[in-house]
Amino acid sequence: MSEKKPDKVKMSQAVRNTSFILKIAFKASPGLCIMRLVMGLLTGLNHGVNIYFISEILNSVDIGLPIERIFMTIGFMAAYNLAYILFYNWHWKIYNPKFKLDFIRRLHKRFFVKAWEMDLACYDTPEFYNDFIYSMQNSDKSIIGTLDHVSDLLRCFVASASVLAVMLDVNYIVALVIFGFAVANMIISILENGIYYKYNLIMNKVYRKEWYIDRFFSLADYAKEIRLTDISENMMDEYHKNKDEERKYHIRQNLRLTVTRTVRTILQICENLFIILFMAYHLMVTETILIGGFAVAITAANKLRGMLWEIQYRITQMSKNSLFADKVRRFLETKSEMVSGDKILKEFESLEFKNVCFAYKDKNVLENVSFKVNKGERIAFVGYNGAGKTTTTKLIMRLYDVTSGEILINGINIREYDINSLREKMGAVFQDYKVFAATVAENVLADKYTPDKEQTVINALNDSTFGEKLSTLDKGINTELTREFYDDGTELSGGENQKIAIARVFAHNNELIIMDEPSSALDPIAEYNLNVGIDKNARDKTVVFITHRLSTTRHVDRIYMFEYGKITEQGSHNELISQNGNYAKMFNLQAEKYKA
Amino acid sequence: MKKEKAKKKSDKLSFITVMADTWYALKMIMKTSPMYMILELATNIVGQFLRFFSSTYVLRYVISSFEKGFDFKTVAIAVLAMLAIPMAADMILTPIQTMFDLLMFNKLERKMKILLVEKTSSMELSCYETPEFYDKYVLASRDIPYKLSGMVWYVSDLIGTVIGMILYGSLLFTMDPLFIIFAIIPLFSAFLKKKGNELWHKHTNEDSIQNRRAQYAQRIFYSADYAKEMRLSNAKEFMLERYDNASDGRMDIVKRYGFKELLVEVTTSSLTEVISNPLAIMFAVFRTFVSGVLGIGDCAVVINSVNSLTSTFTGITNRYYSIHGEALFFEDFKTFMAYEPKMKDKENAISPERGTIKLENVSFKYQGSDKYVLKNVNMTIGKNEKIALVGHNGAGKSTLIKLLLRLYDPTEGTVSISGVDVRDCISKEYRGMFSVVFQDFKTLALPVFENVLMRPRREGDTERVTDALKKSGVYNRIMELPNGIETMLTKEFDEDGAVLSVGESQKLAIAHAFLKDAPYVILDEPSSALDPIAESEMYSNMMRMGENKGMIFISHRLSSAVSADRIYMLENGEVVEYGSHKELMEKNGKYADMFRKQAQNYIDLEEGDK
Repeated sequence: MSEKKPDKVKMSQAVRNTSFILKIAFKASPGLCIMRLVMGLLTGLNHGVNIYFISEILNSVDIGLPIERIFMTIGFMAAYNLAYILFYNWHWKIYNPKFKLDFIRRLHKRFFVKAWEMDLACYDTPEFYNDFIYSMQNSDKSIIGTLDHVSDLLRCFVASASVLAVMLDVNYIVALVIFGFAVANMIISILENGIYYKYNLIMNKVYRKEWYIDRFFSLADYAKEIRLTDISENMMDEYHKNKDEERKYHIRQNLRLTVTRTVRTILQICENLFIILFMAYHLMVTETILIGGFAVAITAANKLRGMLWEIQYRITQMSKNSLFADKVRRFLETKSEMVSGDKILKEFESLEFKNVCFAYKDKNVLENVSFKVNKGERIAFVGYNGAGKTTTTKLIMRLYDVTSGEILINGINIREYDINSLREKMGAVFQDYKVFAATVAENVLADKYTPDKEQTVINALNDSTFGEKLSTLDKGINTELTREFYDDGTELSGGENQKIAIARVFAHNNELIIMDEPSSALDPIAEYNLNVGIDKNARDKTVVFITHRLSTTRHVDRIYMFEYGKITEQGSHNELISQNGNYAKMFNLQAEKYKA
Repeated sequence: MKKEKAKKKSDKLSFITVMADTWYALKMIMKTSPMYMILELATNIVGQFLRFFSSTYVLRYVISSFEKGFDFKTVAIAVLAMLAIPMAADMILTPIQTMFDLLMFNKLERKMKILLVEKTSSMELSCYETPEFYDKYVLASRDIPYKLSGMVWYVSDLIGTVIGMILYGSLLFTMDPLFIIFAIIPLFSAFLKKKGNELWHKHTNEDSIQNRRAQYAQRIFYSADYAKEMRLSNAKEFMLERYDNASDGRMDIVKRYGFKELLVEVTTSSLTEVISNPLAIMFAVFRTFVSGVLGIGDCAVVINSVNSLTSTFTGITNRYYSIHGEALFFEDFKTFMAYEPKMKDKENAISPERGTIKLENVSFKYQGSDKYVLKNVNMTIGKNEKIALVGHNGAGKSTLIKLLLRLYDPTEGTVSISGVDVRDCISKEYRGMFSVVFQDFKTLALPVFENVLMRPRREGDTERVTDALKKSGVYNRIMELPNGIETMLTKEFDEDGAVLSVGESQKLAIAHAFLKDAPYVILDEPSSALDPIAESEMYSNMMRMGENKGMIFISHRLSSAVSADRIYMLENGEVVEYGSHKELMEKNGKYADMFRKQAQNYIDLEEGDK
C-alpha cells in the first residue's frame, strides 16, 4: 500500500501539469484545441454508432421487417459513413495541418525569444541545458502529443460508453461480463507497464553502451584507430559482454511477461467462449435476444477491451508527457537575473575591474582580479589553460555578472548600462567561433544584409585575409554557407570559418574588441597576415587579446598573466621579461627554438 | 536533396525488385534465426484463424443451427470443437513467443554486428570520407537488425492477411459466388491507394526540406554553442526571418496538397464504406428475402463480416507499401555487402622489413574528384631519421600521412619500404610497424589500461602499461584517479568515468606509442590551444619517443621543425622545398619566409633586423 502513495501524488501532479500544457495550447490556438476535442468525441461515438447500425440491420432481418425498411436503414448507414468520412478527412487533411503549423510557429517563436532572453549562465548549467533545452526542442511534439492524448482519452471514454450502452440494451449480463473482462485486461496491462518500466530503467545503461559501441564502429572518427590497432577486438568483447547482460535482463523480464500474457490469453479465450455460449443459449433456448445482439457481442467485447487498454495506455503516456510540462513551466518562469540598466553607453572611454571575484557553482573561477584599460590601449591575457582568461572576457561583455567586486565602464558600474547599448560597442571573436547557415554577408554583418553595406563586408573580409577565398566563390558575399538550407551551400574549412568570425568584428566598427585565440585554426602565414589586418583595423580601438602565441603579445601595452583565477604578473613585455617570472619562462620556452 | 532522390528511386522500384529484396531479407533471417520468422508467422496465422472462427464462422453456424432448430447442447459441443484447435494453438504460442522473441532478436543483432564489423573494417578509409557512400551505406547499414525484424513483421502480417482474405473470401464465395462483385469495387481503392501513397511521399519529401530548415533555426536558438554569438549580435533577426520563411514554405505545401489528399482519402474510404459494404449488405438481404438463396445465418454473416473481408484488401495494400518502402534499404544493403574493398592484400603478400621508406612520384586524388591532393611527391625516410612536414592548412600533409600508413593507395607512383612496394606487403603487419598519434586523438570509453594497450589484454600487460604511462609522464596523474589504471574514461556510460584534458589524452596516446614500441613513429602535432608550458612538455615527450626510431611529424609551429633531419615543405600538394633547417634558411625561400614571420616577435629586434 505504501508503494501506491507516490503514484497517487504523481497522478495529481500529472493532472495539474497536463492542464498547464493544455492552457498553453489553448492560448496558442483555441481552434485547434476545440477541434481536437470535437474529433475525440465524434470518433468515440462512431464506434457505438457502427455497432448500433449493424445490430439494427440484423435485428430487422431477424424479425422480418419489410425489405424497404431494411434498405432504408442500410441507406442511412451509408449516408452516415459518407458524412463521417468527409468530416474526418476534412479535419485531418485540411483543417488540422494548417492550424497545427500555425500553432507550432507561434509556440516556437515564443520559446525562441524566451531562450534568447535567458542569461548565458543558464546554458552553462548542465541540468538546465539537458532538461530545458531538450524539452524546448520537443515542445511542439510534446504539447501536441498531450492534446492528442486528451482527445484520444475522450474518444476512448465515449466509445466505451457507447459500446457499453448498445450492449446493455442487448443484454445487461453480457454487457457487465464484457466490461468485467475488459477491466481485468486493463489491470494486467498496468502490471505489465510496471515490468517494462522496471526493466527499461535497468536496460538504459545497456542501451547507452551499445549506442556508444555502435558509434565506435561506424563513425569516421575511430576508423583510423580501428585500422592501425587491434582495439576493435576489445570493443567486440565489450559488445558481447553487453549483449549477454541484455539477454540476462530480457530473460528475467520475459519470465514475468510470460505469466501476464498467458493469463491475458486465457482470460480472452474464456471471455469469447462465455459470450458465444451465453448468447447462443439466449438466442436458441430463452429466445430473449435477436441475432443482431448475438452477432455484435464479440465485436463489442473486442472493442471495449481495446478501448480500456488504450485508456490506461493514454494515461501512462500523459503522465510521462507531464514531466515535460514541469520543465516547460520552470523554463517559462525563469527570470533573467541580469537586469539591464538604463544608461546608454555613448562612447567607450575606459574599462576597470575592481577586485572582481566570480564563482561558478561554488567554484572560484576568478579571485580579486583588478585591472584598467583606457581607450586605444591594447592588452593581452596570457596564462595556463583554464586560468580564467575567457571568463574575464565574458564578464566584460556582461554575459555573466560578477560574484563580488565591480566592473566599471567610463567609471560607472556596468550594471547601470542598457545591456544592448553596451554590447553594441563591443565585438568579439570567440575561441569557439560559430558560422551561421546564412550568406557570407549576413555572417559578417551578423544582421540582415542590405546592398548599401556591400563595401563594409568586402573590406572586413579582405582584412581578415578571407579575400583570396572570396574571389573563388561564384556568388561572392551572397554565397550561402553550410548545407543546412541549400544543398549547394559552401562548406568552409576551420581556418576559413575563423576568418569569417574575425571579419564580423572588423565590419562592426566596435570600440572594444575582444579576441580569444583568433588564430588557433590558422597556419603561420595566415596568422601573420591576420595580425597585419588587426593592426590596420584596430588602430584607434581598444583591444583585449587572449593568446598562447606569445609573439602576439610583444607589442601590446600591457600583459596580464593569469594563474588559477588570479592575475600574478602584469606589465609590458619588456617589464615582464626583466621580472623573469612565469611569463618570461613561457616566452622563452616558445622563443628558444626560433633562436637556434 | 539526397533524401529526395532516394525516395524518388524507391517509388520507381519495380514489383520484381521489391520481391527480390524481400526474398533477400527473408533468406538472411532464415540463415541467422529461422525460429524468429517461424514464430512470428505462426502467431499471425493462428490469430487470423481464431478471429475468423470465433467471430464469423461460429456466428454463421449458431444462427443456421438455430434456424434449423438444432439442440443447444449439440451446438455448444460443436462450437467448442471448432474453437478448440485455434485456441489451444494460441495458448501455446503466446508464452513461447513472449519468452523467446527478444532473445532471438538479441542473437540476430549479434550476428549482424559481426557481419558489419567485418565488412566495415575491411573497407578502405576513403569509404568513410565520401559522404554519399558513408551516409548511404556505412551509417545506414547499422539499422539492419531493426529493418530485418520490421521485415519479419510485415511479411508475416501480409501472409496472415492473405490467409484472412482467403478464409473470408471463400466463405462468402461458397455462400453466393455473386459476392465477388463487391470484392472488385474495393480493388479500385488499391489503385487509388498507390496514387495517395505517391502524393504523400511527394508531400513529405517537400516538407522535409522545409522542416530541416525550420529545425536548423530551432537548433541555433537553443544551442549553447551559439548562445554567445546570438547575444552579442543581431543574428536573431535573420534567423527568425529564416524560420518564418521555412514555416511559410511548409504552410504552402500543406495548402497545395491538402485538397488533393482529401479527395483521394475520401474516395478510397467511400468506395468500401459507402458503396461496396452497404451494397453487399443490401444484396445479401435481397438474396435472403427476395431470391431466398441465402439463409438468415448467411445473411447475418455477410452483414457482420463484409467489413472484415474488405479490410483485408486495404490491409494487403498497406503492407505491400510498407514492404515497398523498406525495399530500398535492402537494395542499398545488398550493394554494401557486395562492395569489394579495393585495398586487399595480395595472395603472395610478404612481411615488410624495417628499412628506408621511399615515396616515388606519388600522386593522389580522391575517387570521383579530378583535383589532385598530392602531386608527384618524392620523399625518403631513413630508418632513424626525423622528418618534419610543414606547410599551409590543406597543403596535403595529413593525406601524405595516410598514404604512408597505407590507409590510401596512391593514384600514381609508389610507396616502398626496404625496396618493396607496400602494396606487396601484408598490410596488417605493415601498419603494425607504425605508432601514430593523430591530432584528433580521442580517448575511448574503456579503462585507461585498454586505452594505452589498444588491443586485448595479455599476461604482463600491467607492467607494460605502467611503464608506458611513466615514460609519457602521465602516470602520477592516472594514479590520482579513483581506480588508477583501471579507471573508466569518459562519461559515456559511467557517471564516475574520468574526463581527461586534451594534454592528458595526448599523453595517453603517446603512452600507447611507447608501449607499442614500433620502429616508426608518426605524429600529428596538435594545433589546438595548449598553453606554452603544456605545449613544450608535449614536444619533449614526443621527441623522446622518437629516439632510435624513424619519425615523421607534422609541425604547425615551425620551432619544432628546427631539429629535424629533413624538412619537407608542402604547398598545394607538392613538395616545394626540402632540406635541413639550415639548408632551407640559407636557400631563403618560402620556408625561410614563413619561419622568419613566425620568429620575428620572439627574437630580439636587433637580431630580427639582421
